[in-house]
Amino acid sequence: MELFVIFLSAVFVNNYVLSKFLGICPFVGVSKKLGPSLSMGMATTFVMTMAAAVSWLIYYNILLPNNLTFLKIVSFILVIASLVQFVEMFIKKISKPLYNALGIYLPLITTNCAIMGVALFLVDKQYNFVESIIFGFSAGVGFTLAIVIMAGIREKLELADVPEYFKGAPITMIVAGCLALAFMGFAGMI
Amino acid sequence: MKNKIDNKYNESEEGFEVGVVEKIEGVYALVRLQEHEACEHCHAKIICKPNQSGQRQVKLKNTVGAAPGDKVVLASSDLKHVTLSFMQYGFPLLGFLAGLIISYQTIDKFPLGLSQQFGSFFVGLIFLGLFSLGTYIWSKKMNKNNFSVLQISKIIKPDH
Repeated sequence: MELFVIFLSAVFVNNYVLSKFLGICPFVGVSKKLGPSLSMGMATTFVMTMAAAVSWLIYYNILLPNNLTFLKIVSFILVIASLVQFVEMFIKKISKPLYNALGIYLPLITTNCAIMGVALFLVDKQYNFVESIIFGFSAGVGFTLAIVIMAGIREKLELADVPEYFKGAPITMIVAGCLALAFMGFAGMI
Repeated sequence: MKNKIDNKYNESEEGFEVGVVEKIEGVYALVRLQEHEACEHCHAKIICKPNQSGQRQVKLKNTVGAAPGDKVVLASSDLKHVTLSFMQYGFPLLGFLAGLIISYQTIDKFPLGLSQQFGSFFVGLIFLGLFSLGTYIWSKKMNKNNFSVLQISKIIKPDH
């Protein structure tokens, strides 16, 4: 039950993009089409889950016992960057066609602050190992949900009669604001 | 085969690529992709290195009857994107989660004196590797069929 609550909370109530406003860069930049946005979401979910697991292990087995918790930000940056590089090399090795088609999303994830946010929040909330992984996975699902909804709306907007001054970035920001307002409706659910 | 020629194509249209047909090989066309102008202004190009491998070429099914020298529009299929993403990220991730959670819940003592967290993490990695093997076999099979996210959608008139 506890794990389910963590899942619901990270996907809807505390959605990283629409409630905490983290990971806005890929949210706006890769939400023009449904296909690429879903790819970005899945790649982010993958990295978030792995980063949550590795960050937990490093924090509770190396940093905390040695009183090095002040190094957590530096360590997590290193963990995320090296993890993404490793995943990129791995995918390049095991499936070149997949890497050519979707590998572009991986380097962009390195600069996604939502990943860093997950690593820092799981430490602050003092989750256990499994809870941390479910939290990382759920945060990724929440990110995917937000980016896919945004892409769906933006695809429809291409056909809409948007006033000239609102075309492009302004209408995107307005839609993002409306989505954030809609997700505020989940507040208090858990 | 009826040629699909369109002169209403807007080069600033997003989500599309433009290329030039270099060679026709049976039912396939070898298309040289144009570099994106947008990359010139993107800060992430240091990481992505769009020009690193020189000009990109793709072999695609010639569904519009293009001839060598034709400028064509390549559109990406959402369904193929989803399939590829799932196989690349979703499938191995499911393996990792399954291995990790099952071993964490069922195994109390791991060999080599590993803690439950480290032990289940390594089991998760082993499952990740196994599921990635599935992705590798699948991608080999798809590679044989020249599977690509892109498909030729139309030919652009030469005066455009």
